[in-house]
This record gives sequence, structure tokens and C-alpha cells, in this order.
Amino acid sequence: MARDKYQTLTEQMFYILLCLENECCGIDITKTVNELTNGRVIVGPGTLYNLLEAFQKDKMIVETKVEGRKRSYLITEQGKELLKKEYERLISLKSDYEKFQNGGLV
Amino acid sequence: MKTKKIFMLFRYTNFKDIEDRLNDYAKKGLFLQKITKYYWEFKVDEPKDLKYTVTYFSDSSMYDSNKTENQLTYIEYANEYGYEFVEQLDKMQIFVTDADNQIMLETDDREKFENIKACMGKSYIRNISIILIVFLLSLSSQISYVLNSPDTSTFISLSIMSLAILYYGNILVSYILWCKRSEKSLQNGGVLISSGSKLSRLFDKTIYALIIALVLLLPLSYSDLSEGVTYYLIFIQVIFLLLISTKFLNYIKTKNFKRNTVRFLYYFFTYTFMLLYLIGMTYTISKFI
Repeated sequence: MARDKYQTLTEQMFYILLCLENECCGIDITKTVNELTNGRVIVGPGTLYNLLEAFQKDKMIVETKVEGRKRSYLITEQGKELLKKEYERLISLKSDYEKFQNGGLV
Repeated sequence: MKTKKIFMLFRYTNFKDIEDRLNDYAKKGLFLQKITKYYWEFKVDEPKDLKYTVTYFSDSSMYDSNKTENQLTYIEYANEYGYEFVEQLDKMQIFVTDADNQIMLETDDREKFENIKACMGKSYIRNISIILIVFLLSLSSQISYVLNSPDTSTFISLSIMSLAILYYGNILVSYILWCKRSEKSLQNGGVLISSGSKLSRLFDKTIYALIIALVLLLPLSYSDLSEGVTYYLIFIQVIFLLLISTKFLNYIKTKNFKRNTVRFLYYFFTYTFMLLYLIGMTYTISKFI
């Protein structure tokens, strides 16, 4: 189930995991994603909560600190692996595109 | 403060339809403040352009009036982005924000779709399926009886049952089709299909109107007047039972019991009450026969 869900990551999934390379609390993630992408990718609060829950359940991230209702998270080795896999997938897309544009298939 | 109670005929799964209607009500100066089992209560004020959002939260339940820590965290995230929690009904949560708030509460359609499926499968769709099976079984058991001795009252009873099957069947089929169409759209890089339409609302209204008309007509179809009166009395008693069980559920929810305890007490009370009612009815009828 989890493998199917993470076969390809959505942009929101990708950036949330990327932000959690450093310990970060929930609400700060959306701000970081917003800055990182110059507002191109926006993570709504509902989506943020649901994705953090799903990532935690599937052991892609761990909860590191709870202060009141402020929870902080950090990516796990499993999460890093997933992120790297997605990065490599995107790189291969990029390389295929370049190959095609440069007449590599001819 | 002036309030207005409205009987809202809606489908729990049709989030877009509910959002649109609440936005329209706000434009007319009606702002949702409370949902009960029988009506939605609106505050009457100056008309405003607001944006309502319906989401589903798997952690909340109709057997628990207290919000869990997880739900409070969700609400806090939403507050940070200008969304105010308004009300909830079982797993459905309603938020409101200014109409010009550009940030959507849910921005990942795939995740939203998976969340809706998880929430619906847990309770709503399962309950609808059970109701549908019960109605289908009773309909099939009564059809042969009607064919052997057709009379107006039995025909009306079966019509009511058939309309109920049509109603619940339509909810189930519409939801399954929505899931299929959304899945296909998301797989092709598209967006989540909008749920609910004016046509489905018209369908629901028509079915409700027909059922109410037939329920009121049924006693008049009995050849014996006393049978008609008995039917009315039973009908009133059933409504009374439903009201009592809802009141009881609301009462035990205020007692801070655990969710499973509330669920157990609710079903125990309702079924015991119904059983006692049936025993009482059987006893009374046997006395007169």
C-alpha cells in the first residue's frame, strides 16, 4: 500500500520531505516550501496535516519534539531513500528530455 | 442574536455541493453555526462573501463530542492560514475563511481523494450498504405476498421501500462513480472531480417529497379506519423513539466517556428500548385478539 502511494511523489510530498532534512515544525514547513519555490508550490494546512500523518505512519518521518500543540519532525533514512529515488526519477526525466531535444533517439 | 433553522437535504459525500450552498447562504446573510441531526442553524447577519470548505477527518466520530489532540492540531494548522473551524458532523468538518484567501485548505488532490475514501469507507458507505441490504431483503420477502393478495396499502408500503432503495442505491452508485472518475482523472494528471450536482439535489428532493406523500397517504388506503389510526400511532411512536435515542446520545456525549463506551451505551439503550417497545406492542395486541 505504502509503496504504491509513494511510487511517484506529488510536489507537496517532495517538498515536505525535503524540508524535513532539517528538524522543522509543521507550520514552518509551509513557509519554507513557499520561500523555496517562490510561491509556486503551496501546501495547504489540511494537506500538510494529512501528509505529515501519513509520512509518520509509514515511517518516512519521525516526531522529534512536542511543545504544546507544536510538533516537530525529521526525515528518517527510509524517507531519505524515498526522496532520493524521486530525485533520480526526475533526473532521468530531465535526461530523457535532453536526449530527445538533442536528437538522441535518431 | 437572530438565528434561522434550515432543514438541509444534503449528501454527506457531496462536499462541493455543501460548500457552494454555504457560500450562497453567507451571501444572503446566513452563517452556519450549528448542525443537529434534524436541522442546520444559521446566524442571521449582514451578507458577506465567505469561502466555506468541507473536509473529512478520520479521527473524529459521532460518538465523541470532544476533539482529539490530532483534530485540535489540524484546526490549529488551519487557523494559521486564516481558516476558522465552524462545525462538524461525524467525520465531516466545516471551515470558513474570507473569500479572497488564496490558500486552499487542501492543495494535493491525490491526498484529498485518498483521505475521503478512507473516511467514507470507515463508516458512511458501510452504513449505507447495510441499510440497502436490509431494504432489499425486506422488499424481496414481501413481493410474493403482494403478488398473491394485491391491495392498495401493501402496494404503497412497497413503493415507499422501493423509493428508499432507489435513494440509498443512488447515493452508493454516485459515490462509486465519483471515485472511478476521480481516480481516472488523477491518473491522467487531472484534478479531483467535483462532487454533487443540482440534478442529484433535485433527485433527492423528489424522492423525499414522494416518500413523505406516500407515508401520509398510507393510512387513508386502509379499508378499516382503526387500522389507519393504529398506523399513525405506530408512526408517531417510531419518531418518538428516534428522538429519544438522539437525545440520549447527545446526553452521554457530554459525560466525557470514552468513544467506545458512548457507542456501546447508545446501541445498548436504543436496542433495549426498541425490544421493550416491541414486547409491549406484542403483549397489547395479543390482549386484544
